[in-house]
Amino acid sequence: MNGMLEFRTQGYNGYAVKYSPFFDSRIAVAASANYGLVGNGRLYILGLTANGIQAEKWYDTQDSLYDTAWSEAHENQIAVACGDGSVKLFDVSVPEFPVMSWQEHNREVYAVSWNLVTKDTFASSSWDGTIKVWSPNRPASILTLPTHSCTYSTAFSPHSPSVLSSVTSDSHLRIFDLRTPASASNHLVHLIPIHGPGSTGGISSVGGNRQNFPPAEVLTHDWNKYRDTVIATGGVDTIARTFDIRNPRGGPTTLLEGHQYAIRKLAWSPHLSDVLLTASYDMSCRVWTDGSTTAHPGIIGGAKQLGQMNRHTEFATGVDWCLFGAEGWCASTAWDERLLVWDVRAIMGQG
Amino acid sequence: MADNFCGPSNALQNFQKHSSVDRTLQQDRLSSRQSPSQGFRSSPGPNAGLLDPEFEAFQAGQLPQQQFEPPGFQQPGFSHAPPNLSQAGPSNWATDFQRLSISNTPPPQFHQQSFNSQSQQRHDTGGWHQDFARQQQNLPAQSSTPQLQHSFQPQHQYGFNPMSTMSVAPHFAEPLHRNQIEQSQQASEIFDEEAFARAFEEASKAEMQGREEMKENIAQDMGQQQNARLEQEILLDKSAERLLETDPVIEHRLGADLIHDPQNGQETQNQNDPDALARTAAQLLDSVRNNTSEKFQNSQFLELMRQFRDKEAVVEGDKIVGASGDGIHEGFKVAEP
Repeated sequence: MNGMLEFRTQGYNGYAVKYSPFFDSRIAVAASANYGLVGNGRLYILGLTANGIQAEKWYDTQDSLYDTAWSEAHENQIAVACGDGSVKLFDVSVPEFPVMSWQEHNREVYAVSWNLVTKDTFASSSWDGTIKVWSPNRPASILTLPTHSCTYSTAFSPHSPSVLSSVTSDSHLRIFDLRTPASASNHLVHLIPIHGPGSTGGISSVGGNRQNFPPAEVLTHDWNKYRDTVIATGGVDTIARTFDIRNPRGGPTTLLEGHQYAIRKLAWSPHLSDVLLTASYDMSCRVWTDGSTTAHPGIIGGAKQLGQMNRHTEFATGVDWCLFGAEGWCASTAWDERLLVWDVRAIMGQG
Repeated sequence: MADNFCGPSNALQNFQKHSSVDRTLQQDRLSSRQSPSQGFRSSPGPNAGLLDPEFEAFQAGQLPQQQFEPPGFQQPGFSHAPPNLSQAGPSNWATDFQRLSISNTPPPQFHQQSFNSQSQQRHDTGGWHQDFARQQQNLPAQSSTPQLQHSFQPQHQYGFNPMSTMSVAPHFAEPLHRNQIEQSQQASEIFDEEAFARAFEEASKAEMQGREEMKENIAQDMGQQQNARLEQEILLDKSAERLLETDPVIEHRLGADLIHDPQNGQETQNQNDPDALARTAAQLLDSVRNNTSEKFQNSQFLELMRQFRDKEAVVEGDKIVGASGDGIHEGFKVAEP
């Protein structure tokens, strides 16, 4: 495949990759030594140049890094999720050390997600069963939301400043609305079982998403960038699902089956409302459509895999879409110590 | 409508959404009153058949607070309807709307209510009719009351016959339940009861007309639909139960929650126990045992897992070292400083 760019994160196994929301040539990779089992972490700040991908900067951390999120408000700032329970904020203009470090989580932090609307807060989620909301300017967290389960992923809605979601080991998708009173429910407004059967009586269910699945850990999820009630989830049972939270009891809208092992990361396209990119422990990255743009109104159909990228040689752990330029460019990282930058249009129809 | 869902939302926009929904519904009700034989949108449009499943999907939705209720609170029996139901007069969806305008409850629940009238007529043997009939029975004597009771009576029998008690109970426990909550909260709401009564009457007439032809279809669908719905209900109840537990039961735990249970105090022991690491590695290798692809055969991570399993490599402090003590086993690279 032509046009694929590569960068070796020598000695560090990639866990997450994120394009800068400010610069089309800047990518961050969160990586960990020893596959994140023990040892250090390293945050790479990479530049896409005429001479390939160059490391502009990197930051070493005491413990593994599992996720990263660029600040939406400050072009040089970036948050990381650390294995020692800390959340750190680096400033690219400041060498070596983080400008902020918060030590509140009791266990590994797995995800960080910036607020895309107000841009002044971000959330982190941890193995300790909590989500915390932070402001870069404050020494302590603003808010703690309990999930009582290992929370692999949290994300702010791209459409609302006060709605955030999480997926957990207990096979549930949670939606929190911070505008609701902080009652016994801790802002929780929806608790959606991932493993439930498909839409009740839906025509699409004839094809078999009427099945019940055993509960399975959910590792990743993402909000659709165009349809503000649609969320995709992926996890241990290898199936990517889409949910419409307008109908929280309706079960998944679509099931995307194809990965052989767990899905570690997924991301909706910033350009196309129906296109999803996944990275899996089967060492492949796949591109899907959920069929929402081809189907008749009211009927979900046509959900299918569009292509498959097989260049990674270890578990694929991170994917992200480029926000700028042509609509197909994305980056992926894996435990093979490589970052790949590629165009999904080049793999359409493969796999 | 679709445009409303794009782009960042704000409170004003939300309010606008709600108010637009409001108008639609009012018009629905008014138009159905003008043509009594039609009832609630009972004349199928060209896409009616396609949209029915979506209606049901909406119907399967629920109010969020439902999830936080103690499961024991859902009593299956209809006869247990509390006397204060009579004060309801106004229907569920109306109270829902009232609350929607005030709070930030998302629009879908509102839809659910408005769809109920249609889809339950067709497939669910008039669940709301029963609710309504109950309310009517408890109402103070009005001129229309006997007539309504008469028209609803067969509905009752029909509603209960084809289904087993089991499948009826969980499904219908919900609306009833919801009634109780709402009425306690919304007791002071004021509505045009007569207008609602008329609307319901029209709906019931349309229901009676369509009933015979629906009967065959329903009988076929009913078992399957109810079973699926029952499964979903059970699933959601479980979720709610789990949510309510302050001390989650061990058997509910999956994956990572199982491995590192902060409550059993064994985590530190696990981390330092080479046998635990070896066991985990062995499980992982076992799970990919059948994968003979080149990539998996050549995977350095899986090779490291094999070394863990065979105790050729162990974790010491912050490093992975060969068990023989002479450094890292070949085939596995350690991070350079």
